[in-house]
Amino acid sequence: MTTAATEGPAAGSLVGARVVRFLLTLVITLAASVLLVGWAAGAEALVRLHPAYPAMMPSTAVALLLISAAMLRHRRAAEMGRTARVSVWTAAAAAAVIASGDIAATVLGLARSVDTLIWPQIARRSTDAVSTATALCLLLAAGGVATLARPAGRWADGAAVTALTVGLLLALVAVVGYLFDADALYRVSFFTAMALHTALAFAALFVAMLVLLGARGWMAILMGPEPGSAGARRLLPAVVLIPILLCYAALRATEGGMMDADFRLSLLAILTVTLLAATVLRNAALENRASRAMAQITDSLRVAVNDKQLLLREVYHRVKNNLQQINALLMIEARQVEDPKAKLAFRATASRIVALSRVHTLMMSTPEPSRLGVRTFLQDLCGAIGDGAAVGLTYEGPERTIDVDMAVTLGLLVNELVEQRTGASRVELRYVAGDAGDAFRLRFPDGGGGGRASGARARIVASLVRQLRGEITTDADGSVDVRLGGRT
Amino acid sequence: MGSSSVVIVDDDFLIATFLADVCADLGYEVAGSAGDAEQAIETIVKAQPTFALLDMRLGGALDGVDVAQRVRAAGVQPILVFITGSNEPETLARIAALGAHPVLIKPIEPSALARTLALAQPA
Repeated sequence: MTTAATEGPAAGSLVGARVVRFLLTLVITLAASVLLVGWAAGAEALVRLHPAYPAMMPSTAVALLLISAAMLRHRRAAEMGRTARVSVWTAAAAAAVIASGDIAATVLGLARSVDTLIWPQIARRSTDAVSTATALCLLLAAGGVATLARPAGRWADGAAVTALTVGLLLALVAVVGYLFDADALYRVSFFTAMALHTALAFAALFVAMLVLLGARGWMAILMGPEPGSAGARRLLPAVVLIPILLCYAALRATEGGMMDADFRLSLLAILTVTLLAATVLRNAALENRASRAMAQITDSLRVAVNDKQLLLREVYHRVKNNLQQINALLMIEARQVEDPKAKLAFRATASRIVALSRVHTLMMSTPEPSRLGVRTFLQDLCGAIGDGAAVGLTYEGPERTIDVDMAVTLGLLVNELVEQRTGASRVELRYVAGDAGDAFRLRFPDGGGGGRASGARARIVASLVRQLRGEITTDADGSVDVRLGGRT
Repeated sequence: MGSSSVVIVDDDFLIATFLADVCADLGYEVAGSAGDAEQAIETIVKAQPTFALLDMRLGGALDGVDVAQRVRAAGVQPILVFITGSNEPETLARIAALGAHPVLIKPIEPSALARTLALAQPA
């Protein structure tokens, strides 16, 4: 199963990774091409960086070109067609064959290597051969580029990151070996004859592949957006470069007679400790500054949220005040009206306003004023409506939260259904919050059940049920069932 | 019930009028009404009613609890029924600090007011 989340880095970093990949791969391609021209033209200056250093072998250059071509062809696995994927794998396989041939020649002690098969004149120089480290790096690079072309997978990604990391370390050992003492490097048979530009090309190639592989393995820590990753990106260059540069400076100082070799170690140790400690402290200072800035932002946000909640509560309070005044006006008017039907209509309207008002009362006291708990809301509502009848609530299931609009509609509906009773002094409301949707039932246990609503109330009930995308049924005893289909 | 009297304290005169109507319908004597704290203290101390319906928000520096404390300090002990527009914990805690008193949350249903007054009525 491949998902966008496991395809690799996010869009922004993906673009950055592709730019890095393109630039590094272009440099490697150009270097390998120049080297092949040098071999073809017999130009020594083009095949080795220094007369004392070994040359990059043509087979290595060809393999690097194949891998570079595969890298340039690479897209995200989801974007790669079958043809592109097969071409990448073919290039990787060809590079792996070359590397395997070189390893086999070394292991079996063959006089003829891949290069001497193609270019017999190369055999005249003993140092001009593919080193074991080079062949191994080629194999790792071929495996890495082949892995890049397949959909993401936990184990494959882990193996790829490990292989590419090992390859990068091998290349860096060779590069640093050249920096300090090439002869010492050649004395390690594994690295003998690995050219400097080969080592540099591999270092660039493995970095490009790791960047392209994206946020996986330790690269996920390095490339991540979190503060820890930002700190790692800040620290890593210093942690890598300080020891190398100090060692190089100490080596040159010793060779120049500026210091004793034994004292060099002491100085090197203390300088390394000092500079790394300074780097750590500098990073701590930056983290502290960022933390203080974050705390200020958090405080500002907290103040803004509090202000918003206070404002919302004030709005609810004012709306509620207006509803109270409307309710008072209706009740005062109802008192003056003689006609029982008109009096009833006034009282019914007043009770609807009470139901509306309850929503705003709760809004003023909930931690999240835009959402209400259904159980809390119904408990409060049942205590406020009924006008003489006791409305009891039984709530089953988990607490739900609903927004203001839904609370208003639900509150009005419950109020209408309670108010349509004909003389019942007790009303039981049983609300069930279920997985398949919420439902409630109104019963009138001492008789005087609601019966069917008529006139304006019937229209109001129908509108409210429709608003809740629900269904309503009424039993013969006047009990009412409502199944809610809307958001709960 | 004929001997029970009520003073209504609410800075909203519409609501005060409505409460006065309901109390009168229930058979209570409305001994007075007030729209601010100073007027409320004066009216309650003078009328010495059975009940004082006290709105919490009175539009000034003093609220319903302050009125109750000053009335008590003046030696008048009406049965206090607090009225509030909100059920915010701070408001309810402030009332509770004064003792156990009924609290009605606006808008007030006539039946709820009747029930509350009947329950609080001295035997």
